Amino acid sequence: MSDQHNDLPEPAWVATSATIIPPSRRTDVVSCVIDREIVLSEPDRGDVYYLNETASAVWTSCDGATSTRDMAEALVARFEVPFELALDNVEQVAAWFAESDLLETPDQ
Amino acid sequence: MTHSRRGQRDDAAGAEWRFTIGEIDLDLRSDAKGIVDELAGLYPRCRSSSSRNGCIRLAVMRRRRRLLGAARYDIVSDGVKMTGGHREENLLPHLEWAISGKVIETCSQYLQIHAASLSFRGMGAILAGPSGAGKSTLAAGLLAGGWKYMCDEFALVEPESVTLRPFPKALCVKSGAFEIVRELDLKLSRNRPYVKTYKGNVGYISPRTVPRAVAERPASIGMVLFPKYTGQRTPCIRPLLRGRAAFNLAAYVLNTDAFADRGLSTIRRIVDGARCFVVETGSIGDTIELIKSIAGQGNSAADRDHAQMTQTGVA
Repeated sequence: MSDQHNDLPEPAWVATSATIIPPSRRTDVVSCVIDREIVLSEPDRGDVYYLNETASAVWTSCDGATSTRDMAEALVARFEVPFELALDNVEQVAAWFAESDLLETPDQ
Repeated sequence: MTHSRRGQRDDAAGAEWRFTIGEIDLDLRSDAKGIVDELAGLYPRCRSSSSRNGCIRLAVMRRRRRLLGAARYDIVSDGVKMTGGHREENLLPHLEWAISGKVIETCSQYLQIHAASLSFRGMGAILAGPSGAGKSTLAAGLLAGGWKYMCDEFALVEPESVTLRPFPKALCVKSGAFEIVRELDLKLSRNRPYVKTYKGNVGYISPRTVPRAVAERPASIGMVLFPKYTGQRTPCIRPLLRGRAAFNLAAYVLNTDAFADRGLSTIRRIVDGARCFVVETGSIGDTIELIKSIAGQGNSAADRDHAQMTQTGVA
């Protein structure tokens, strides 16, 4: 993560009272990469998800170690888009992963 | 079958027959001779006592009529009632439904997709979609157009070889498609509709009535189609990115639980080897011609389509 973006706030959904937690994808969710896009299968509900290239890049980075800012940096390098736009996309996608119960929750 | 007196059975009562539907044998014990005759019009009888791949057993049992009630037939598997009906002349849809249910239960080694399946010059094609998308009607049209018929209700995919297995059950078409059936010069079995509650009236087409129309061997999957009924006259076909096709296909898998992780990887292998399209159906003749023209282009065209879509970002 570069220092120049430190003034941007971390999204609330990954923040606990004291700690910023990088998103971590659930290990039991089956994923399948097809032409830079990913199809996910959630085993408990049997739901299937289709991720476009941007969302696929975010999903791949949800390793519990990469912050959303670092993910946005990676999108900037890959798609040549402004950082703010990339971060906004990452936050939206990660929030959607969380709402869809595809991420580990902080106490897991 | 005739009943001269309440509850009395005729000579055929409880007799057993064996039919063969592709790789599956059906052992049927029936109190109703009429349903056996109807089934014999759809499927060949089988004398063999050994099953090649699987055998399903069903019984049509006549329940004694109550004092003021009508006679009733139950369709039973392993002592458990699956479905049933009051009128012998309308039992066929119930029996067909039970057969499909037992095949789904029995053939768990295959990835089962809610789709019609056919083959063309050895290339397997899956037509996946919800009820009402026109799968059976399109399958009937392709069958009439020279394709080999595998099934109109589900595609059975052998996961190792990613091949389609034939289960050539009778095509079940809704009354709204009877006119198209006539247009295709196909014939409804016994030239009659059957009353089927949730689908309205339906008719059955035996694929065996069309010469060389039944697929007898597995076929590698080369094409995945998602038919969509739009009510327009002119059909339209659009290529689909493989990721999107995999997602769409996954929604129609019937035995997700049995396959778990392997389901998605099998789907991936299907779309990797196939050309994938959305077909907005129009008039049956034009739609069939359009699909045939795409099928005739072969896999090099598929690679070209796909490369073009990837470059232009079509999703």
